[in-house]
Amino acid sequence: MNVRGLEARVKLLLLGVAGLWAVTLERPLLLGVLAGSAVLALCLSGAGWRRILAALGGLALALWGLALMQGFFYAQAPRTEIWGWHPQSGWALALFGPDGVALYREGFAHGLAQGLRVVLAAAAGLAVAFSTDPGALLGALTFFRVPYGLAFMAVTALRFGPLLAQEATQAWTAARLRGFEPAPWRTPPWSGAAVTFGLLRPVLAGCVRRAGTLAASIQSRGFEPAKRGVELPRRKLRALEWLLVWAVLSASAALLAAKGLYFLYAEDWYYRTEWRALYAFVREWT
Amino acid sequence: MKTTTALLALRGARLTYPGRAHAALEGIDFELEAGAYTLVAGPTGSGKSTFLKVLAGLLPGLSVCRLDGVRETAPGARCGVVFQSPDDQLFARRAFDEVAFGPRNLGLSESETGRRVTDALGAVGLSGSEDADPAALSGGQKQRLALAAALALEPAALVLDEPFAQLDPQGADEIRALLDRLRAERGVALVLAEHRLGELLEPSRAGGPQRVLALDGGKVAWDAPTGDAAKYAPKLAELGLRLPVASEWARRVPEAWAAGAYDRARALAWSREHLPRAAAPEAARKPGGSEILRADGLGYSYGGKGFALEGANFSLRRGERVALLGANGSGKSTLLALLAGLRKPGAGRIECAAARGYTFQNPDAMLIGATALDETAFAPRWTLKLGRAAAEAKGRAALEAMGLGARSTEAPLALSRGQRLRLAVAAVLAAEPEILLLDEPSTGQDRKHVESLLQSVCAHGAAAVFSTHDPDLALEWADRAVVLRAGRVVADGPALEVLNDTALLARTSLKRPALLEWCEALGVPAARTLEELAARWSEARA
Repeated sequence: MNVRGLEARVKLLLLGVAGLWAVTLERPLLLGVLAGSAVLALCLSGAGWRRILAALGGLALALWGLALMQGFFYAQAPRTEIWGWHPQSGWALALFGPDGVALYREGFAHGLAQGLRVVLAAAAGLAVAFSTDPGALLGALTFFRVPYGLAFMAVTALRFGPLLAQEATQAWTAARLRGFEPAPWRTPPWSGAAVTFGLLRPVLAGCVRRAGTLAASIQSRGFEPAKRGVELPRRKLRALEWLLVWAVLSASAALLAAKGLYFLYAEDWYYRTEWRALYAFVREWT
Repeated sequence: MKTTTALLALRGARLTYPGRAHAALEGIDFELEAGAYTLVAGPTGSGKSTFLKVLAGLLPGLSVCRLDGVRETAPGARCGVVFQSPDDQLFARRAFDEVAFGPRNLGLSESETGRRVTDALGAVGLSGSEDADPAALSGGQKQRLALAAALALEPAALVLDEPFAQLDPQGADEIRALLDRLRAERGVALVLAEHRLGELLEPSRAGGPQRVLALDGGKVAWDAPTGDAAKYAPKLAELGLRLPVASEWARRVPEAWAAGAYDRARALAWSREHLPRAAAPEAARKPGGSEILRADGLGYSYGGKGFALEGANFSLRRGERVALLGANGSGKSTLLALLAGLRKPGAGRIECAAARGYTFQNPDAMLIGATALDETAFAPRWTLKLGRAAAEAKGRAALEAMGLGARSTEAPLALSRGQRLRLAVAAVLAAEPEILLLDEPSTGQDRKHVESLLQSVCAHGAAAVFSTHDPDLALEWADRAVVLRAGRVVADGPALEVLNDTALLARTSLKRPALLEWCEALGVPAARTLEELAARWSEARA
């Protein structure tokens, strides 16, 4: 079974579960395993390698940026310094104070967990977007009772996203052809920023024009955002898909139950000695 | 209220947008009978698209506006709509889902939806393409799919807004024939807005519009049957619209026009009776200067998916004008992009020391300035490294040269379509390139705008290479024509010779220019322009 072959409702369910796990789990190891699985799904989504590489680059930047940011700005105790720079005198002391700049292990781990949460949810979302036919996605969204108008907007946004990127590239190329040099050592930053801002104009105009034509076209084909009862075809789930659905739903239910019981214990509201192994598992592994 | 048998009717329709001084439509009275075919004509900005949207019931609703007057629809009559750009209308990844979208919105069962999809795809000649990705279809096939998506609603009327604008001649012919067939076989009424009036009003075509409704400034300028050109040809000419070649010929011979030779039969009869058959020589081609660009054995492929261009040779002389012709997907845009330096050739090499300027097919992608002057001062500032005052002076001169001097403080994207194209070209010419490369400048533009643009480009003196689907435009404005087919250059020579080679044109899915057909009908040597033909005969008569 590959990602593209999965039924759209199963993929949306997996995406929802990935979101649930991303906010529920705290341990970087488990989050890392799940984020790795989502990244693997993204790589197997069947999208072009350029799109996948661009997505992976963005995810890597988000992960690294969050981990570093939390590592530098972690203010809770205890904290262990991995690397530090502590100025003794001069302008640096005035600017940074005696604590200077330091990277803390606990902050880095916390940032890593936050970053992995982002990677897990975003990679799962991209894998679904890249691997799912818009029609099937529309059917799946309406199955989960997402309003028809909203579901259609989401699907068309995915369909026209690459076209907007193409128009932005075209505007950039046109500016370069007319001599624009974005290199900061050749261009005053304010001039470059003004031109870059100007590139948004044709892209936005293209969005408005395209949205207007599409709106007129679909309205002429009986589309009404508030319409109910539009039945879209969905194929039956295969045995393996059912198994996957039950497995992730069971795991999610078990995780929520275990987390709930641990929360009651941690808040001193309810405690049973025979559940100590469960409390230890939740604390150490989730 | 007046009773009617019309499918669709507008009575005293007036459409206004908030904050606009003038109504977009004013005093429109129109009735569409079952099976009727109406051509909506008018200069750019005359209100054709707005009229079609009001007729189809899409306005008001799509935008904030106010519609006064009455719109009537026969009970149960549904109206399908097809727009100029199929890419903006198609959103599904399967042709089946695209066509099924309408029936599903109507709440039809899956079996009925399937029946309608099969029927609609069959009607447009796309049977068996249910699983095709619309993005992978050719321009003509995409437009046929958009038609099928409208037909799946089983409409009594189809409203079409410039459906041929982005198609090559063969694709446009296919859609025209398909529309005629739909009307004949299914009785679908058609309302079609189009700039290319010549091909639709050509009396040699079977079918075709029965009536012309001309709009000007949001008002009905007149409404006449197409059977008698005397009733509409002078009026279309007054609006500056391009007529079929025979009528255009008669317009250039005042005695013929005064004698009422408005259509092909009368113009032909009058010409045979009154004009001498002088075998005047063909107009001499403008000699080119020294060679400024040379490309040998160019090859390019997009992501390794076959060759978009293979073994293409091309050269350009100073001041020369070259038209690139070929069906959709033949490699015209790829060749232009390589010549402009936008892409690196996968094979072959380009030698060019001259400064090059390039305009995209969609000029809006180039308009990034806050005002028209910002736009034209951009290249002098960045390319020629001029100071603000000097760059603006060059920018003003470029605007003046394109007839946009009075628009210097206006926002580029608020200009009309023709003005936006001229502005994009002015912005490129402001950097004083020696070579100007234009990707399909005639798309979505009326002929008057394109001619005015090419006149300005010629006045500038740069060598120009432009791709086009319009063989008459190529004949009139190009010294040389280069024909591409499946990524290969299959012909390169004087425009008149290439465009008169019927075997070549048939092989490359191109059409012979209407003017050359007309010259043949008159029994005279081929001419590149109607003015040239008229001047030759004047001389012969003198």
